[in-house]
Amino acid sequence: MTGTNLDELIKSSRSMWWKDGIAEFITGIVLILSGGLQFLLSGSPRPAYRYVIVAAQILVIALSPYAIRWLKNRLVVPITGYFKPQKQDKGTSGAIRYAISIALFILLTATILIDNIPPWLSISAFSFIILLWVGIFWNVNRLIFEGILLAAVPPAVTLTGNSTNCIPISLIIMGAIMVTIGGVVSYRFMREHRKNE
Amino acid sequence: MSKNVFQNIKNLDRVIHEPARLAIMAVLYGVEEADFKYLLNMTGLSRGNLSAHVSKLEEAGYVYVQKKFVGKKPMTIYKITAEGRKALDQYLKSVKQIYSTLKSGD
Repeated sequence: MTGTNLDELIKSSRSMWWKDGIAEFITGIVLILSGGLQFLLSGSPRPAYRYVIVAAQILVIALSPYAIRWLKNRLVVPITGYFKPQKQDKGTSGAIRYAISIALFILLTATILIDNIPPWLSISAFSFIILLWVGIFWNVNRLIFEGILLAAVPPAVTLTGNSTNCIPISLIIMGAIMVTIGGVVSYRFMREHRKNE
Repeated sequence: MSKNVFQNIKNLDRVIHEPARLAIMAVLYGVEEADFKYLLNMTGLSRGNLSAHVSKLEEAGYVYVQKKFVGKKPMTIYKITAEGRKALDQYLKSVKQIYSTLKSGD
């Protein structure tokens, strides 16, 4: 076994959690649902409905990690076996959390305070930052490509003239991209691993 | 070629140096814990081979084996120990050192 093979094996084992595409598939569904709920919210329904919509939005986001685990346990674990991804050391994960929180805070504040900044910029930049970080840190190049693709969606939607419903439309398109890529990756991953069984 | 290289080769950890055990260690190095099936899948070893090599790693104190229930299902979980992690780091360092010395021809 050469040094390169060994490094590849360590990297492959470390990034296994992201390889099956399940996380992207579920995130895509969450984005589509969020886009749909944003559409309902922008339709200015009665205040009582608005609370329900916001609560539904929070519920969808909060349930997504459980949905990922549930789907992985049913589809992936029976094929690949069980594994728990490596934890980041406290220093690294804390620094990353701070960096992402600060970036999000700056983006949101700038969007609210500065008139010239388009509202979609925070979504575009945030999805790019998250996917870029995950892609580099876990060594999954596909996610870097997805980050670039998703970041381009909101400006593209604005350019087509849909500036009023830019955010809901963007979220739905971004979700559809993630569901498609996640679905294809999952299908290929499971077909490949079933063959090896 | 310096005497140092031969000394380094002689000092390589023989428990880890075996390719199958090296593969098991590398897989476990990348995760928090894994079950037998995951190790089978990642290393491509046969069941008997994997079982024998894991036992040797366990004896050396490099791998920790734990039997637990996940839901109602009994499961054998494998983890790399701190000692095992250190040993693999040291092994990789030594191999890289030997390789660079041989390449430079000193």
